[in-house]
Amino acid sequence: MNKVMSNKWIIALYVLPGLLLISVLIFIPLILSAYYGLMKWDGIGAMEFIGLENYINAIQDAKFWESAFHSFLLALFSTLSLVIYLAISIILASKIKGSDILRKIYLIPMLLSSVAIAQLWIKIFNPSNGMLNSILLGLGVENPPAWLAEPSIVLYAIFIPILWQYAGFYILIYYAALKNIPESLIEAARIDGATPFQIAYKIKLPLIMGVVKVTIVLAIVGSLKYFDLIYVMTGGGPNGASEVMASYMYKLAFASNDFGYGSAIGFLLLIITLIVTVIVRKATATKEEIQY
Amino acid sequence: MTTPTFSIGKAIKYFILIIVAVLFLMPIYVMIVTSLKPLDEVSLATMWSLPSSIDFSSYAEAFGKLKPNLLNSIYLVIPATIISALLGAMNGYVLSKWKFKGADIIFTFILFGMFIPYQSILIPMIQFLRSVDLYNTIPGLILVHVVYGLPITTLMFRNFYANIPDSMIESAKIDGASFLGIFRFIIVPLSITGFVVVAIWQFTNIWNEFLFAVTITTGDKQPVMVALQNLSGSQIVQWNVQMAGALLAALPTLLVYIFLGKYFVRGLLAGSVKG
Repeated sequence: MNKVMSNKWIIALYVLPGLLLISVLIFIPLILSAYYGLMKWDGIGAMEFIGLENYINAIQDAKFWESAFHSFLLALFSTLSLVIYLAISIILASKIKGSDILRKIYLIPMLLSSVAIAQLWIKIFNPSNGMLNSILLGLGVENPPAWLAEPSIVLYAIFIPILWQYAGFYILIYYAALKNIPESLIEAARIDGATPFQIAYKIKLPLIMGVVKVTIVLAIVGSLKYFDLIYVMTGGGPNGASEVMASYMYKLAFASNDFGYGSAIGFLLLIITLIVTVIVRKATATKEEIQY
Repeated sequence: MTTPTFSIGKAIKYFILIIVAVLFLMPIYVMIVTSLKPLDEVSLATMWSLPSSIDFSSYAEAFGKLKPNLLNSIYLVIPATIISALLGAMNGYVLSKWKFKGADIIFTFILFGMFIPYQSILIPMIQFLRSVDLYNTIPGLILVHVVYGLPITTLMFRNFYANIPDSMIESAKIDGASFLGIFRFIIVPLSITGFVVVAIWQFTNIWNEFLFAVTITTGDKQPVMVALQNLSGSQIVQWNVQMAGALLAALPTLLVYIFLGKYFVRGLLAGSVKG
């Protein structure tokens, strides 16, 4: 791009406040986290240097890897759910009457906070007076599961509100991208006898692939950081069955007051997230310049 | 193509979209209906039925308990949204319209904060806030939200300003406009849509944020989302009060979308989210 002006002082005046804040509150803390990970520390008393012990423990910590596995499972679910959002968006963008109102309905959950959504779904999943089991009992299902209390089900159950929460956001993005496709392209394909499915798969999808790739990165990175909803709904339970990396770190630091180990886990969480981000972006990058 | 198959296709489309809409609305329906019932009417058998009479007492109770925290959230969200939008606009303006070495490095440096999990910086950040006496204060929380809002606000404004043609600024420069003149008469008026989009985004995120709120503040300094979570802390969950509280806490974001939502969607369509 042809940038039009240059004046060192004004540039500095404009970007320095932001850079300073980001350095002090993002980059220095990141380095300190790695450093605190070398300490034995309860958060209040003096720190004791213990070398790499916390990091070695973390790498051998089965609970940590279990929580990492859950985080990756969420990332996988989130990526797959993009297919559903995309399908809905394609239908929604195909000259449907009332698409505006429908799109607004899909957007409602996005306005609620994770805490509110978590509480609503605790009620929905409640085994004794919840909405879900009331439907299942009505349909004649005997002994419907106790959802959030069932270790083998809980993670899948939690994914339903996540699916519900983010639908509006992704549908809005896809819808906007689909609406930018020139109508003449679709019309031409239709005249050539392409079926609606062929049009969606062979024309619409390739044209919005750039946006789809961005959403894949967003979904995966977002899932690895996921915290609020799970923390409020189950606190990682029962017995660690829904623990994710972020909730495990939180628990170590703020419930067990193990700030040294918590810092080490926090730093590993960062490393894992960054590695995955780089891999996903490389995998989804095209020949064009990478856009943020 | 014959008309009948076409309309069957259309019927299937509507069927799918409406089923999805019903699935989306069912939880909201239960939330609203429950919030309007007295506690003794909240049971499995009457879950779907409308309340026998509309009862706002759960709202009164929830509001009584959440009021101080709602105020905290307002004191937090307004300055944090404005400051993070202004700083983002400054960064975005310079990064899209000014020529200087290292611009890309600076942009990457700023953007990095978007990708990190906040758990990775939480402990040192709390230490820092303690050392400057901002721990457990609303200004401390404002500072944190401004800093962690900067990556996204910078990104949004950079994309926004990139769409303003350089020629407009060039011609103003040729006409003899000063730096301030260009900023005041060209950039500021053109930025209004950008500000609306960024402000809605920041408002919603800061209002709904939980992790920083729960770790940086305690007791009477807590924003509404933490208080909402604490509302369920007692032994017997009063579902009607809980749901009324959740709806009350969502009211500000809902109002923002009702009044400004069309600008937000328009802004997004105009390219704030880029491929």
